[in-house]
Amino acid sequence: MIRKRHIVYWTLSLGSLALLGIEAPRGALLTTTPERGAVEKGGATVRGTPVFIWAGGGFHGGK
Amino acid sequence: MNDVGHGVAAPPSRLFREEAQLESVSCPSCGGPMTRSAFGTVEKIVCPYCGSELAPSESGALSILLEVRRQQKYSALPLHARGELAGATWEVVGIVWREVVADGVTYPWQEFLLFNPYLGYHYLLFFVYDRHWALGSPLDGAPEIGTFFSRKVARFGGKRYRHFQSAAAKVTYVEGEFPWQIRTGDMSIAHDYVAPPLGLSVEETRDEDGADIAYTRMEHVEGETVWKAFGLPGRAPGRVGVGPLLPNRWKQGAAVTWISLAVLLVLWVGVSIAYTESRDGTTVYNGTDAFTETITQEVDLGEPGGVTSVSIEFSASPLSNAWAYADVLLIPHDRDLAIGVGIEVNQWHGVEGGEAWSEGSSRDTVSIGGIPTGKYTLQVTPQAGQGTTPTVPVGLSYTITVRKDVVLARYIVVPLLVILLVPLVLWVLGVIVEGQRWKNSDYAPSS
Repeated sequence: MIRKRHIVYWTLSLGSLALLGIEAPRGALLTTTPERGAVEKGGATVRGTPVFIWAGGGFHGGK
Repeated sequence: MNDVGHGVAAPPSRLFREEAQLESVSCPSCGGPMTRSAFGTVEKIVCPYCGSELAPSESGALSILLEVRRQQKYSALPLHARGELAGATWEVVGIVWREVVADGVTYPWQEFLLFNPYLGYHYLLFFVYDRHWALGSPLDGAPEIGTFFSRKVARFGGKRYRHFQSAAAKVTYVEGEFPWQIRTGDMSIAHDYVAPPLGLSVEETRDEDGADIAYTRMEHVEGETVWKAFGLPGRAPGRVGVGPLLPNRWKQGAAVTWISLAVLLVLWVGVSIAYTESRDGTTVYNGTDAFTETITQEVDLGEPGGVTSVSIEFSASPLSNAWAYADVLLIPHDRDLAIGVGIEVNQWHGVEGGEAWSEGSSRDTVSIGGIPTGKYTLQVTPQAGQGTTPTVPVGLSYTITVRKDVVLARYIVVPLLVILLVPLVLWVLGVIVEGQRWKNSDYAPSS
């Protein structure tokens, strides 16, 4: 006999399976949210490649 | 009787006679007015007012078997109450109060003898100590008593009933009409078997003539059902605890739950395989460098237009009582907004109180998702320090590994937990309810 709890169970389970099948390849929900922002060139490495720094000032990472 | 032409006698339209036509007699002991209902099958009548035991004679007069002077007690249902229960109309023709004593505690209940002229006798039981109700009917046959995994069981009608308890039951109060001899103080041994919401009661009564065994089929009834059936005022008294026959609500629909679990697990395996097969986890950068300079490197996260997940693994070696940090930037070539994450590793060890200890790790991985595919410039700015100073340990180097299209195990684990959790919770709740039920049985942990 099907009860309300089974409907809830199926909904939750199928929802989590949809998360695995659809969202997992994107991986945006269950991962670390990275910092996002504009950067600008702030010099060059010893090898001559440009170094980028966060634009607009403020604290952006760092130990 | 009307013959309907098929050899079957049609029942009269009215099951019971009018109230006014019930046979009214007076108790020959106390003179109290009595109403007789069950007639021919009655062996003993107990006056509800004085308790005197009477026997009906063929003429309809009552003779005194035993003169008693006791006060009438009020039961959950009154004598001669009528109600619709289990699809039939019943009248309470007799009331018996009984009790068992276990571990010094008295457990009383009230039995209401129900009568229907076409269906005979049923029994409605009200367990006073926990306010549960059960409806009993004579068993059409005898159950087979045996064992199942060393537990005593009764089998009847293809169903297995587990032995719940055996106890000596004593009659403490009687009123009304009975098709058997009954008297206050009568003792019997009751063996109860349960398969909620059903049960079997095997009752042994021994006297000088031998043993009489009665089999009764029991079924849990909600108090509200009884209240409604007999038109009683107010609400039924709320039940307490888990009675022997109370259905375990967490076990109801268990078959659907377990089948659902199996189907969902198969689905989970299939979707998990499809997901992992679609992820190649390609390494787009792997480099080792000293903690001296920021490094930059172009990396390809796939054809533009998609979204992927990226893992960045950072390790530093040799790391001893030191920390290392990497500021990782991914600067897209075709958009403005860069993506930045910081990863720290540290490793500490020492000796304290004669015991060596260590903590931390020289390796850590950060996964980020929702990253637009395309070409990026990877920039890693490392930092490191010895103890609490920003001095880079001598010889320390770091390794950065960037992978795209990585498998994120958490997306596989979360559905598995959801799929397993619900049946697990239902099972645990069911076990808890059964524990409450069986703690009052002969098989309680303390018994």
